Amino acid sequence: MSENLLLNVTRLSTYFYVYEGIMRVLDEISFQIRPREIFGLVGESGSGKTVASLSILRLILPPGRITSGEVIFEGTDLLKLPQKEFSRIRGKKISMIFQQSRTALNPFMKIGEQIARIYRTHEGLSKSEAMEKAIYSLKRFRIPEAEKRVESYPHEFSLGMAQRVMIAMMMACNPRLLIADEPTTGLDVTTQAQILDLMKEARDEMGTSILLITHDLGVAAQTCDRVAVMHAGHIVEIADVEVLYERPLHPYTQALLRSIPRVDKKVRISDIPGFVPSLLNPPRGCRFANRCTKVIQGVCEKIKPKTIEIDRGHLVMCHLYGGS
Amino acid sequence: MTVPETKDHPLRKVWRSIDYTWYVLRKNNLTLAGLFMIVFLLFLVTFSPLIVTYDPYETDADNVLSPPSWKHLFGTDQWGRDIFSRTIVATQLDLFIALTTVLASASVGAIIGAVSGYFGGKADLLMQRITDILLAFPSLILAMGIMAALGASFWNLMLTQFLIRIAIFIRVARGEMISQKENEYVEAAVCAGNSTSRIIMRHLLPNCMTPVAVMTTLNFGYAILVTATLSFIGLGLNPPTAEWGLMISDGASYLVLGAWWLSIPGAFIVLAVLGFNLLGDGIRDLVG
Amino acid sequence: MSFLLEVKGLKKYFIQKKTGLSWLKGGRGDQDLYLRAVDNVNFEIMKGEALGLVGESGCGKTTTAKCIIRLIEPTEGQIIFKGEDIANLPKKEFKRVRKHMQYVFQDPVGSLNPRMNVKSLLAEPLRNFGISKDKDEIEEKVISLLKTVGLSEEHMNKLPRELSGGMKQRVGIARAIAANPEFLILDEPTASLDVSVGAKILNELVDLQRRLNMTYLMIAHDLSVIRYVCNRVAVMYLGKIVETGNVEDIFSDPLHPYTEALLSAVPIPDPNVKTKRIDLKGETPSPINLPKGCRLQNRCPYVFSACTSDEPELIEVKNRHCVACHLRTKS
Repeated sequence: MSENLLLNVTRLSTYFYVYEGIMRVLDEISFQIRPREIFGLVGESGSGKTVASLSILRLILPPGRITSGEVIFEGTDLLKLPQKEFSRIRGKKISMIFQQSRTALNPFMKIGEQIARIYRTHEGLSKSEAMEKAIYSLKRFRIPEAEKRVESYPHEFSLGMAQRVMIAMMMACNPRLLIADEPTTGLDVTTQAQILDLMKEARDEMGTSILLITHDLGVAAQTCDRVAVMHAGHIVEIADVEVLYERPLHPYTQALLRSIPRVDKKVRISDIPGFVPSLLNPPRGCRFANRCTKVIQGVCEKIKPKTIEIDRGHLVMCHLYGGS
Repeated sequence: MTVPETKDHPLRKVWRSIDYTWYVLRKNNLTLAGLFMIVFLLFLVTFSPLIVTYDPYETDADNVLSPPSWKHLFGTDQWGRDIFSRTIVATQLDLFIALTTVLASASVGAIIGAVSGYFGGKADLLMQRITDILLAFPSLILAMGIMAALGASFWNLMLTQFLIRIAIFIRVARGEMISQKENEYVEAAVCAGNSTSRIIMRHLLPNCMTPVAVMTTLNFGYAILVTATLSFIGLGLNPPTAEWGLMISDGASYLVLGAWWLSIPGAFIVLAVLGFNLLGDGIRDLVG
Repeated sequence: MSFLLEVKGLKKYFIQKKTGLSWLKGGRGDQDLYLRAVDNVNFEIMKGEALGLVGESGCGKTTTAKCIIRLIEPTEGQIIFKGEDIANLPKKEFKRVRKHMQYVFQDPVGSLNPRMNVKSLLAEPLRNFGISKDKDEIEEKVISLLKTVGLSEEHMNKLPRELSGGMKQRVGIARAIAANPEFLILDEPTASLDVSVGAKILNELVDLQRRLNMTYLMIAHDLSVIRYVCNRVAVMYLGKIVETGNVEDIFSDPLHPYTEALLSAVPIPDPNVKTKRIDLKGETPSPINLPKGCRLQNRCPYVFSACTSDEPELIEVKNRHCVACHLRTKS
């Protein structure tokens, strides 16, 4: 594993303290992102993928709390930084875009002004210089008629265009890492393809790494270089994208891949029986044990599996591969 | 997508909602204070047969205007009547008027608003203009006007309280109906073969009640103030009724001799209105 | 050929009210006033078939479906169901048709009344369509319905918020099949569900169709779901049908440029399969200001002179494979 890591998340845990008890939403997850890499975080609803991104960005509000772990970005542990210093990193070196970005844009400000502000704040440019840069960034992200569009308000854009404006805005300061949480959910498939292309260009031309969070296995397959699969607050498998789809090791990954219909051929799909265990009183062992077809009775429910590296870069958290 | 609850003895569900309500209320001290105030008043009302030792209307010429003592906990008024007993009876009366008229106003107003909002069109526009007119008057002024026209009496007061408030409930219910109407469960109800009246009454109306319920709790306090104010100026209930506003009016005349004839009923009004308002705020936060 | 449903010349236009200032932006006559959500749509479904209606957001597929079931009133056109034109039937008469034609909604959260429990929700169609009358009969039937969709008796008294997304969707399906309809419209039945839960629902839908001998009209933007459940497909763009045919024909050999582009844009969950993307320039234009001729003209890579002057008709070029494109139909 290369030592040149952009982001190194180690044993990160986030708990939520609610009326019913303690929800262990993230339970010691670890993963690494290299420079110039699109890293996919794949999981179903409730798997914790969004909480993972919010934890990295220190956007977890009470009753949630990051209870342990390290998030080392370019050598510094982000969780231990004082608020002021962290604010300088967040937005500049680490950026984020979310689903339905049109609601994340200020509805009362023209988008040109919103982008220009970023340049004025972070790079100290003058008003006219910043506006020029804003127009340039719109052009770079293929927003047509950029000179005219700087005068538009967010609601005048279609969803797909607004998403592009958001990407342009968030890439303004050339961040090293872009966190994208379901950036194409809700968009038409043709628009989605264009947005994903834009992200690949950002990686190629600007050297930005992207943490792409999605529930869509097709999006992950076509866009990411490496993929981590999450289930109920655990990362159960990480591998290079071709390896994960060709030789999935974890029973959950295998079951997930068996449950998606295909547009290019007729397949049989099967669902995953049972339910995701409650995060309030999760089982002490593997959280997939109650639904796993390959479960080892007496071991899997009681003992939490360790994460083992099977091949170079292929990690899996499962008793079937040792680690008990 | 978590494990669904399978154990659901009906009593358990009830206990959980009570427990959860207590959990949320506990977090907000003010709401809790409001709850205690109202509970205290209701306690007085429930146990009044035990606490009220004197007939509130019985006069005692030897004992007029006496200060609080062990014999008369709150003293006696200018007719020798025991103020403590009168206060308790007044609590019953004021609370009764407030609770019944606000609830009646809310129920009728909600139905009118919901029906009006569902059908829209010219009838709805007409209803909106009528509510506009009603809402244009400050409710106290409107109440004074109606009472002056009808004459001060118990049933006129009840009617007035009902009328001055109904417009806001119509407005609130109509607004909620217009937004709820767009939900898919309405279309689903149509597909399931339901008649329009059933859709309005059984499907939509219960879902419109949340803002109505909040408005209701916030209006209790104001209803008490209206009763007290109208009685104070002589357009509400008439002497010798034991009512907080009337008692304040009496107390005001004898202010030079002592403050407690005025301040005691006054304190009860504050307790009731503040209690309902704090509780109402808490409920609004709970529900919203 | 007995068609269960024939849609002929269906139109739904929404009138855009001119607000005070909109005339300042300039209008060019009547064209501006109408949002042509569904513009002369024609298709037919045979008994026992499953037709998938696909297209991107704003293409009019949901509006079409809701017109068929009269949740929206069509502006013009015929909807012939079991030989009877139901497009203009008065509301009161339509109730007897409703028994045979039901709708499964896209959003399981919004389509279940949050204050009614499962039993009440399922009892309504039973009572309203005269399937069961007294309390015990209804309860029996409700339990049997729940079993049919893979739920159980213990879910009867639950409120929607106590159920998971998959369970809610199944309640929606149970409600729709309660009166034994012949025709079921499914509006994106798995769009809001997790992948693994969606798989279960899709398998159940396929199974139900076979067991209860129903005909489906399924709306989806996810083409892989259509391929799994349906045997026929109709592709819509900006209120018009651009291609219809059997699933195997359309997915392996799409004729219309829009269908090609749509299929090529679907991300395949296999990193080794890289589809050649056919990119359509620009974005879908607004359905209010439509140009003369083919609606894809300003985005189509194959556009030529006929496209900007004449609107292409939907013409059958192979066995039950129709396309509306000058490129494919000029002989």
